[in-house]
Amino acid sequence: MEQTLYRVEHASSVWWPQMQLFSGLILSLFCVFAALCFFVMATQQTATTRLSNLALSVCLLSQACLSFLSVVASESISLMVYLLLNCVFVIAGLTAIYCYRSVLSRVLFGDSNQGLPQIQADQLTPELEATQKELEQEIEAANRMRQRMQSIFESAPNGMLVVRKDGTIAQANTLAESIFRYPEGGMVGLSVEGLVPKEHRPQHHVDRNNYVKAPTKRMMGDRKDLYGVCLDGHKVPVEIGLNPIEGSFDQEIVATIVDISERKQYQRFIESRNNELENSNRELQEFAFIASHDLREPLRKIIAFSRLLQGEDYGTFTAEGKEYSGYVVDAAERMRTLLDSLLSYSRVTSMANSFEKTDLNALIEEVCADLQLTLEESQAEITVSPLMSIEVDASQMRQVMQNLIGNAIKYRQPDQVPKIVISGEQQESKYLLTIQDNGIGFESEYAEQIFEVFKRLHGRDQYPGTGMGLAICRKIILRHQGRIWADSLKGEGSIFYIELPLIRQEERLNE
Amino acid sequence: MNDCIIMVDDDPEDIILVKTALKRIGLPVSFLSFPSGELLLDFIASQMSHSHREAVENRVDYLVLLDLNMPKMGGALCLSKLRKAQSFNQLPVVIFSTSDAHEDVERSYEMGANSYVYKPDNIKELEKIMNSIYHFWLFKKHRWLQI
Repeated sequence: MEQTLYRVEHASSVWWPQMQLFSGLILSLFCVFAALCFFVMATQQTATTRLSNLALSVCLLSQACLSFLSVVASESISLMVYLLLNCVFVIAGLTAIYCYRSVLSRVLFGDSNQGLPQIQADQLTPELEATQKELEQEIEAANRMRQRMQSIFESAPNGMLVVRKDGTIAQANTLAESIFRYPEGGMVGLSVEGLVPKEHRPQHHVDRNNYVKAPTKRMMGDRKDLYGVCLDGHKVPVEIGLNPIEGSFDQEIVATIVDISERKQYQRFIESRNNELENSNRELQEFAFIASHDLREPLRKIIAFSRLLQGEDYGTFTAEGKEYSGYVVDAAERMRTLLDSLLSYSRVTSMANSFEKTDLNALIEEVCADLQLTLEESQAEITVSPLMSIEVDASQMRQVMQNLIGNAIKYRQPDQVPKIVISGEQQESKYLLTIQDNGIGFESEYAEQIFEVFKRLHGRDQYPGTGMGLAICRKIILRHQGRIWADSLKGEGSIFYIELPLIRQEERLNE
Repeated sequence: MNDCIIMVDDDPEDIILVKTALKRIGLPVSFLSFPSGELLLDFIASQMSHSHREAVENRVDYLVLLDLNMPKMGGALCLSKLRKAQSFNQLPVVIFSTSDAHEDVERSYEMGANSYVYKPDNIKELEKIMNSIYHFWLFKKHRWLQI
């Protein structure tokens, strides 16, 4: 009945159906378009707004279908379909309204408290989430930093204590605990004064308070020997560095502790060794001096009384007796020369003079004057080039030159006039003296040995002497912190080199 | 009374040598010897107080031959003590030593030694030395008095 009425009504005018058809199509097209728009929006929105847009687009779509169907196939459409589409339209519409309730309420009732937090919560959630993440990251970083500091603190090669302003220990690493023989964690909370020997505690307290007032990075104890007291009362030698911790709440100080027991032990060992060496050195020198000095006495008696006996006032010797008594005196005299040279060898250090700037040319002239008789006898030619003035012990240097020039004449070629050439040359911080002769020379294998004590290359009957001359020369040059060496070819003369430093290091105190 | 040479030496052989040399030259001196400086000082002290009481013509002139290296009181200390005591400071002291070291010679003269003689190892030389010491320090005065 109703359907019929509807149709009748429509059919009552000619243009009405066309009009109705046209407007129905426009409406459905518009609804489809709007639904599409909301649908596209829905795909790009966040969860809350997506649902409302989706609902709107469904609502519009159902409206589009409804109007399209009512226009195009109003006769064939069943009531059920019509009602279903209407239901979908109403439900979707209500859903959209529900989703937009906050917007609607704001539009309808103005700004209400009810709606606002909802909106802010919606907007702030991502920010809050980000902040929370940041915070978590920071906490993790701080944890990692703390762990890192802890492992650095533990892995330090020294004992480390963190001490608060009031002197309590805030932190101690394992090494510090082992230096002071405390159990693990046993030091925290104790007073550092407990680690100081009893007699130094009051002073330490004062010093620590002063340090807290003006903390700087420095060593503790001003190079004095420091000792720490262990839990069991044992004292351990330590070296302590102090360092204020920048940015700590309680002006904490970190003390770096090194156990120097071993170092001390080595130091003591070296010192005692050094003392022993110095003593034995001194003893040797004294021994050489006293021996040579005191041994001369009995020798002098032997010589004196032998000569008295040889004088024939107290009985006469046979010819043989005279000869033999002569051997006694000769041997005793030879021994005395040996002792004399040993004495002068030991006097190089015991009777040393100070070093003074000396004109070497003048010094050599003096030596030549002393050797005048020998020089005239051998008709030796000495050529001396201009030399420098350098700091030497003049009397010892004279002894050296006298020995070397004397040797050059003593060991001359029998059929040649001895020629001696002395020259000098500055080499950076050193001065090289060269004494060259045309004497008999020696095999180069002896170049080092000739400087040894009592070393002789010739028999006593060939060349007299004790074999101490060059040994004394070397001792003197060594005392000057220089070097002496020789170069020779047998039969072609020899060259002696003396290298002297122009600037000497400080003389050793015991010299 | 003869003048007297006093030898202070811890070395008995040296004393014998000097005694022998004096005997061989035949000088008119008496000879005394002490093994240490302390004994010399004791002796001189007793003699000086003694000689004050004696007549001038009976007075004995002394000459001291003093060794340097001796145990306990050495020659140097003995000499300085002699020179400090007023009554002995005119006593001629000849240092008679085996040391030829410059320092010893210089120090001895600084402390007031009248002469320094190096001990010879030859009796002939020793005789010469004793002769000149005697004539310089002791004999000269006699001759001068005789003139």
